[in-house]
Amino acid sequence: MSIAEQSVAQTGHVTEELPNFITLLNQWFPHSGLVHFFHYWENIVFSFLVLGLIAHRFIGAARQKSFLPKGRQNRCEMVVEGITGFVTGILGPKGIEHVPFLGTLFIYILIENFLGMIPFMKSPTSAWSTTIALALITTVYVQWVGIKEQGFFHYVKHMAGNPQGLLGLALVPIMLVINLSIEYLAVPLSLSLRLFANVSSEDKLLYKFAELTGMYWGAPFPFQIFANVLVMIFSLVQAFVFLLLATVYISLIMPHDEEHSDPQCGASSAAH
Amino acid sequence: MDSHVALGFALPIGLAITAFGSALGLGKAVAAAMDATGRQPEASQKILVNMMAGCALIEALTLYVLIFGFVLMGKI
Repeated sequence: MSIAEQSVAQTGHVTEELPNFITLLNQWFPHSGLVHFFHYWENIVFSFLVLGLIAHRFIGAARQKSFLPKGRQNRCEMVVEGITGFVTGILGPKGIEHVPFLGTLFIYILIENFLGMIPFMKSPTSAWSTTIALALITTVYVQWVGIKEQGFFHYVKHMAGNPQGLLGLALVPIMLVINLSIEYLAVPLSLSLRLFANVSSEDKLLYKFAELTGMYWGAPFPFQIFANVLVMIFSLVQAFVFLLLATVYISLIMPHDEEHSDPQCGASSAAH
Repeated sequence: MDSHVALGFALPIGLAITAFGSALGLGKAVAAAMDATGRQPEASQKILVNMMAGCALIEALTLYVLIFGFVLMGKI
């Protein structure tokens, strides 16, 4: 059975994408149990590849520990400082405790998106399973941060729309339904579908342009170059948008009572 | 009219209408970004970053419909 027939048998429609080394192994050794296992868990294999790459690079850089960074440590510190500056710009100086999670998310999604452009590799984010996992992790983290920062009672009050007076209390059921359905259903679905739709359609675009180039003996090759540039730009944009949205969701669920300390600071500085 | 005809008719038209709507929204966003850059050219990098974020969010709506299309395409 060819790859197309196999995918039709499995999913009911033809998945057209460029071959990666696992599908090639599956074609050369179709009866091996190990290769079949790797082909079934294709996305997990590539996710582990990305994990190993990131861990090797960044842990290797963190081991250098010199005060004046150079080389690998310098590059990694540049990346981390860029992300820290961006996240603390939105969340304030207290946002630095969320930088490990958000930074890892950004770098992981970015490298996974770019992996599809390397020949014989596939982006794991071109499958909905990877992106829904990432979106669910983000949702759970954001809600957990909300409960931890505000306490459970204030979190429920925030979900009920901070009711003030009789009209607020009357609207509590509607506000609860809207807020819970948005924060627990719409947020993971939109985060995951945005990333999945972008990366999988880039995959299909690369496949179509490769097919076109093959059909007309290499004449449409400039379109292939254009497609690759488009994929690079949009992969970067989608990873950045995921990071931005996660940061904004955290900032929306943080408590808003930081204006109380300012009059006291003003009074104490005026007293000097 | 059975489901094949209905899907075959509705999916491309739905995608076209969504693309039209999101093109209008993107045009407004980019026009606002151009205006802001014209007022203060030093801030053009920051404006570009914010515009990219807004454009990606608007683009996502069209892509949801595209995914719908791909999922339902098997049922035609």
